[in-house]
Amino acid sequence: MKSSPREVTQLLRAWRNGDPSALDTLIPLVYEELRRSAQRYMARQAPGHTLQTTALVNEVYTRLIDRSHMEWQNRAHFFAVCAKIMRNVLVDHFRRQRPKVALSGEALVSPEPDLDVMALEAALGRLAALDERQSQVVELRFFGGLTEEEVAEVLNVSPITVKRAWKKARAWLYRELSGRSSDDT
Amino acid sequence: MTPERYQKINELLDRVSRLEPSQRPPYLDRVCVGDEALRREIESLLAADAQASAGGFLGAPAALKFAEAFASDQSGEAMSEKPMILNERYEIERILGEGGLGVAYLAHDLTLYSKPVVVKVLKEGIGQSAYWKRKFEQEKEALARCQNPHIVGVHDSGILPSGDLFLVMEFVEGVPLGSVMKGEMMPLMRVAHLVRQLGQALSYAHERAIFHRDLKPENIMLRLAEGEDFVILIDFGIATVKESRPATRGMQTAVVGTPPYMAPEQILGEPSAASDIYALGVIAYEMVSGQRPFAVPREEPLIDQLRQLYQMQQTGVKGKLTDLHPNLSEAAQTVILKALSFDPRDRYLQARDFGEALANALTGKEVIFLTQAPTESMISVDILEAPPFAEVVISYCAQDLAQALQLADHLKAAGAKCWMADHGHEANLNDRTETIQTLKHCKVVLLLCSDAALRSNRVKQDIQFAWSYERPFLPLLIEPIGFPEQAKYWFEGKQWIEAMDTPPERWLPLVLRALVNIGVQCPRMNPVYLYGTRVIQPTRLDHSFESLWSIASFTDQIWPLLAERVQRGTTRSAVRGLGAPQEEVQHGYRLGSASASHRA
Repeated sequence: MKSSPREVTQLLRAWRNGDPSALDTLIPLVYEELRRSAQRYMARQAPGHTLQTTALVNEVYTRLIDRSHMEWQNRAHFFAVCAKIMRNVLVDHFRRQRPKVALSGEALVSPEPDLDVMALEAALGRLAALDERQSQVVELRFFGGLTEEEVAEVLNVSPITVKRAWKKARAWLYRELSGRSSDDT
Repeated sequence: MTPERYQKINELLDRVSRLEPSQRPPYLDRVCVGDEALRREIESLLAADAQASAGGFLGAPAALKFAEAFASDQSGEAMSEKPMILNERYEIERILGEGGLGVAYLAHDLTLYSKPVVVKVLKEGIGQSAYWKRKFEQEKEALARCQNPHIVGVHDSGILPSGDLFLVMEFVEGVPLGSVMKGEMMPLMRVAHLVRQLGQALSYAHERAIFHRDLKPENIMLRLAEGEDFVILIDFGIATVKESRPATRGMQTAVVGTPPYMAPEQILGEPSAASDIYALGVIAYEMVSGQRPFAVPREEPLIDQLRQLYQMQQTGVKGKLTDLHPNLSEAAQTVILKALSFDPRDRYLQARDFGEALANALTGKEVIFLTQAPTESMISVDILEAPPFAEVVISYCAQDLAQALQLADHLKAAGAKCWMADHGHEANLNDRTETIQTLKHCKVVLLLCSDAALRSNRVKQDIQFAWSYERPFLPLLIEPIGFPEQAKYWFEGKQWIEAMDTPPERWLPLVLRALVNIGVQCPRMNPVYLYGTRVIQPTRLDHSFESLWSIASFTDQIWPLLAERVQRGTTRSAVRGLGAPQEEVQHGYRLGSASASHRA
């Protein structure tokens, strides 16, 4: 599937202006490009090499976005789309790999052994029920690799609000993942 | 917890965070009056925040994880979404690995008592490529044409419901050569044994217009059979099949292979049988020295690796292989470097020749390259074939008389003095005095091997006398024989010449070359015969107890003879260990001079 940069830029703008159906069209386009870029990355990087999400997304961004219409806000929104996709891919990836472990009898090498992606996903779901915005901040910052300023732009709030939300969400998730649940749940 | 409560906790957290640590407890005392749970909640979140920021929790954006998850998206699907039983017959057990073409699975054939098989499924994505699809078809065809114990066979093939192709192959139990080498020097005798088998297997495939094109230690399986390595070549994944039906003209050959084992012409996209010989040369070099002839930096992009490799190949191997292995002979080094020649035409013509040459060089068999045609002074006018002057005795059984006569004619034409063990004595087969006399003084016994000959008492007697007079043997196979237990002695680790179903011009040069090696004078032989690379050494009947046993079981009459020798006080040679092969050659020449003086 090949998409023109103009098309992606317009979809992005439509989504920013409040058209939710634009996102449905946008996600498959960006997904395909992300997958291709990731495979290119994997082909030329040695295993264990650190790859910055932003580098990957930037590559996709410059590939997909009409440069003549490039705006800072567009970039932030584009990253937000990427964050959604990445979260889904990562979770799918780990969900799929679980039965494989039993099948092959070999331990699966987790990319970050101290982070249980499935547990994080579950905790993030619970967090969304308590505070929608905090879970969005986590999605954008952690899964999308956006800066606080970019997150603020996407959520249309001040950067200091993002900073506080992030700090609290992170503490809450940390506690959830380390197995200490709150008293009244 | 409700969102409202979470909201409240959050607000308090914000406020507490702004306070100095010392002011926090009194503040919490005040705001959490009557709600101990709230206080514990806030304290635990404060602690969690401190630990999370100290430990860098979620600090780095999920980075490489995504790339890995994305990149492996396809293969992951291949595993989880494929049916676990293919064609209602092959039950997939687990993934074995990914080859050049597709994913290989260990499976069980449900129609054959769950016999283990390997199922190779064409990679998703690759299935769309006409090039790879064609390769897959070719692989199937190539393997169907190969019926060799050293090459893995195809049982079945088919198409998955998804449209993907798959092959079902024999599951080879064993260890890959790669894991045996481990970058260490291997014992030279073992290398010799392996390289000989590999050469034969490759030649077999080459004769059927099949090239491996990805020969590497990982594609060579070793199975232990009767205490010895048995080689099995797997993954003819990218074998090019010449004139393969699905191939169309003008189609480009993509560069495929594994860098350290790729021949220069393969890098340029023109692989041939010689490329496999090159790869075998690299493997031999690696087995002997524990190192590869050319060190290619692996971390660089493939195209740079290939460019560098090509340049190094052009310059040639640096350093001496003999310096890397203390016991390696110059001869073995020469053989390996010949296989690694930059120009394919400078390598061996056949993989089999390379395997043989290297095995011989490694086991210390002296390879004699005759550089001169026989001179005038060597030509003897006297070509008497009466005892005791004959240098060659042809031993055969009555049924093979025609072939024996044909052989004798050829040898006489070359000027060799030969004696047919019983020719002219049909009337009195019991009087073998002359034959025995000739056996005693000859230089070599040519044994025409057929089933009948190996059962013949006359032939047995010839062998028995030849053994007691320490004459070397040259077995000549004139029909396919069943290798009976007794005959094994000659054919295990020994050389013989096959003369069945082939015209004399094929085997005669080999026979004459062997005779010349042992010191037989063939003044009228075509000098061209001397310039081959294949050197045939007549077989010596070793005077070890083991070989005595072999001969005894074959002749049934050796023990009285041995007893006689003991009485005569000539057991010296009877209990001698296996002579070094080099001695065979010297022995041949020594006999030659002895015989000459005898004649004089």
